[in-house]
Amino acid sequence: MSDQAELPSPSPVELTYLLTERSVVFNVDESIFLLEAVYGAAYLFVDRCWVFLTRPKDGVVGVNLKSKSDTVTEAELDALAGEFSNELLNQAIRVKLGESTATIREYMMARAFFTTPVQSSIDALLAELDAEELEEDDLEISVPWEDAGA
Amino acid sequence: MTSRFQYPGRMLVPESIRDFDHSIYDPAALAETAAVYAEILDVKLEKQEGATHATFDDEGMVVDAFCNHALFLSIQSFRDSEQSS
Repeated sequence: MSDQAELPSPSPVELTYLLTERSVVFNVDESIFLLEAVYGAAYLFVDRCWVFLTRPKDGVVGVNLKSKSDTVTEAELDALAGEFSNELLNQAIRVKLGESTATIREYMMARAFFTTPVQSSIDALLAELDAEELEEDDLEISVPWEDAGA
Repeated sequence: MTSRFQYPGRMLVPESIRDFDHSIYDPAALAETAAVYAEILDVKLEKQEGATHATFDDEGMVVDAFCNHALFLSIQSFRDSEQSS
């Protein structure tokens, strides 16, 4: 218990909301959220609001979200920034998962492309079954009556 | 991202200036966006070191739409390059 009390408090993520007219601005640390994650979140938000990204300094992406609505409250802007931050986290996890499963995905793709096609064996089996069915057609039902009469 | 009047004392033409960092915005995407918006927006793009300096003859919604479009194309370009590599 005493050891835990001596631990330094974790530094908060730098997501400062600067609420201005119809827009909310905050910085994203690229060492925590890769640019790919910022792109992923921005891609989903371009139809909801006006997105403008800046580079205030190296390793930092400035996110400017401006409401498309003429009238917007501070609470709505705060919610917008919060939703963007949640999506940012979602995208960051997606990027990490994509990186960690890249090898197995490549292996599965290679196996799918470079092994014997499954479809051809299914087609061969179906053709074999059709041939067997025709052989067993004693009443020649599958033969048209014009041909059978001739 | 600033806004000022282009010709003080002569004409009240609102103007908007934005810097598009090349580590975020693809210069080709910016040029393509400028071509798409050419009919409705007058924009001057000046390539500087590491960024494109854009001067718009408008400061309204069209400028925001321009930025959204440029970002959209930049993201697509980034994803295309990721897939090809």
